Amino acid sequence: MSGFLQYLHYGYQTLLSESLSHVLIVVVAMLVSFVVAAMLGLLAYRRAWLAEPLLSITSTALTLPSLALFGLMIPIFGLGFVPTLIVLVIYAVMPILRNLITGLNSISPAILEAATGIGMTRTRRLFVVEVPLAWPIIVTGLRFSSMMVVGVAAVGAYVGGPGLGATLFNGLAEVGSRSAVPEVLSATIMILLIAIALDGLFWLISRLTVSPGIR
Amino acid sequence: MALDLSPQEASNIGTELQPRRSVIELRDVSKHYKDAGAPIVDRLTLSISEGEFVALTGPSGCGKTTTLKMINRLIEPSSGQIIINGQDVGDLPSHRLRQGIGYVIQNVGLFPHMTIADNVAAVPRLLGWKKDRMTPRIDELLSMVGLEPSIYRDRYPRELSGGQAQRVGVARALAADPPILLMDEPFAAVDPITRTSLQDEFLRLQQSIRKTIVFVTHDMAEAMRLADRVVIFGPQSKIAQVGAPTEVLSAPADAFVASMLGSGRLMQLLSCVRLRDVSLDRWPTLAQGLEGDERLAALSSAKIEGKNRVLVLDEAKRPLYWIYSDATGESSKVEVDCKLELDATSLRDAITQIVYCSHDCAVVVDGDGAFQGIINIQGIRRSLAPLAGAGTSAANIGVDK
Repeated sequence: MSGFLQYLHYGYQTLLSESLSHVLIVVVAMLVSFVVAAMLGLLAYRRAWLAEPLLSITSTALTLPSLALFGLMIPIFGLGFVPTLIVLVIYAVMPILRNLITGLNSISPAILEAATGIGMTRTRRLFVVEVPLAWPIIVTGLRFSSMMVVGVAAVGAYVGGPGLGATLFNGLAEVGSRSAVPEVLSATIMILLIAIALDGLFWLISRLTVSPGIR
Repeated sequence: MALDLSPQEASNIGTELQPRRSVIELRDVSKHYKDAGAPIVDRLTLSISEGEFVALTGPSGCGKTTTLKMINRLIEPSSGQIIINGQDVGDLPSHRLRQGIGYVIQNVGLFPHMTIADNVAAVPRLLGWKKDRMTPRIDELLSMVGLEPSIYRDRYPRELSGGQAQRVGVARALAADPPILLMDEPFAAVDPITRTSLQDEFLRLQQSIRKTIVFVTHDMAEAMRLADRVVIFGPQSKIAQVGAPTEVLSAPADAFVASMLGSGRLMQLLSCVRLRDVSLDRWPTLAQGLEGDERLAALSSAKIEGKNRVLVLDEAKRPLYWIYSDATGESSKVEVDCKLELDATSLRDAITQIVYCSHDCAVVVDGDGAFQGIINIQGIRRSLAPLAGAGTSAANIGVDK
């Protein structure tokens, strides 16, 4: 225990800066993923036949081992921020897209008919009726996706990515040394804290943005 | 109409025959789907006048809903032309067309994430109304459909009962005051008691707003009760009969229509015909305040007509009481216990009243309470005889053979 406190005393700065870059890459990955998923989702909305193949690709992609995916990035994008981001986006897009498509498909046909019947254009209907109604499911997708990305981002250290993965891998590489356990433990705790904070953030977002009529 | 008509009523009908402006016109409209053999709507031609309430009815799959949805282009016709106010519906972008036509559907289709006020304001918002015009309009509409604005304005659809939701659906359709209202089985999803009261309220509302209404229902009785004119779709997507409810009920075009109407036809007919549509019987009357000889004279002349009493009226011709004369020449007063209103009472209601009334006839008054005549069971039978068609007695027309 005293070893752990001692480690924190000397290593807290590293820990904090790694946490910060961890959060940063997660946030960037989530933003990019949201945009990508929204575009793919819109495409699937306009071309209904695309929804099915997109959904099966997304669920298959989730079964890929992240370590393998990171390894594949090295020959193409080298090391560092970019390959990490790309892998994170590949993972994060899946749940978001999945929930986006599911959410939009789950709206009652009567509501859609009413919206068209009173004279909404297709675009207006999408943004005034469909997205708000699918929003709780979409936010759930974002929330789930962000949890996953916080974890996968740690593996990004394997290709030299930013974040708490560096300390984690460090500790794992020197098992038996005095600093191994404190390193692994502190990095894991920080990852958990980040995940909890993000989860809370999405809970808040959902409270604030989901209409009380469908909560 | 094969009813006995007073000269005044006949002249009313004369004015009704003046061609009214046709608002919706379907010309030779067909709809068929590629994979289906027979067309779902087959060369339909129909003209609907301004302020007319037309019900499309028939068995499921007969094309009534398809016909309705072709009017606001939710379904595009395969061939033929649909004209609204002289303009082909295809000339406008479909969403513009629909913004000018009120639309109410069976499952209400309120937007669950919007408040009641926002739901009602949906079309005005599409039309770009300013807020200061929108807010009073929302309150006006909610009151019009019987929902107190201060209570319901900020609620969400899930907090409403089925009947209340349907009222909001009607308010939403009326929001921008469209001249035409399309209604697709609007009252089908609510319980029978709520349905009846919604129908009554809607009829009352229509009295004041006078929209041109196309109404789809599979419920014949509902069609007969609400509409000015009923279009009955038959098998093979052809129109089996078009006519006023009394026409259809009294003279079904063929066996198919008769079977659709079912065995309750007579009762439905009785519900459709109002006292103003039939000829009433006269009855000797006496002005209030006349005593002695004049009263005796009135009673004795009544006796010559075979009537044992006279009706006493006040100066505004409102019925007050009966005066009976008995064998000894003494007379006695009896309260009028059965008074029916000319415009509001259907023959069906009249029969029920007469059965319970102590004089085997009911006194009929107009809206101001002035005496118009009397009606009894014989009078009702007499007015039904022409409706029942040649060679059929009134008592038989409700019976399926």
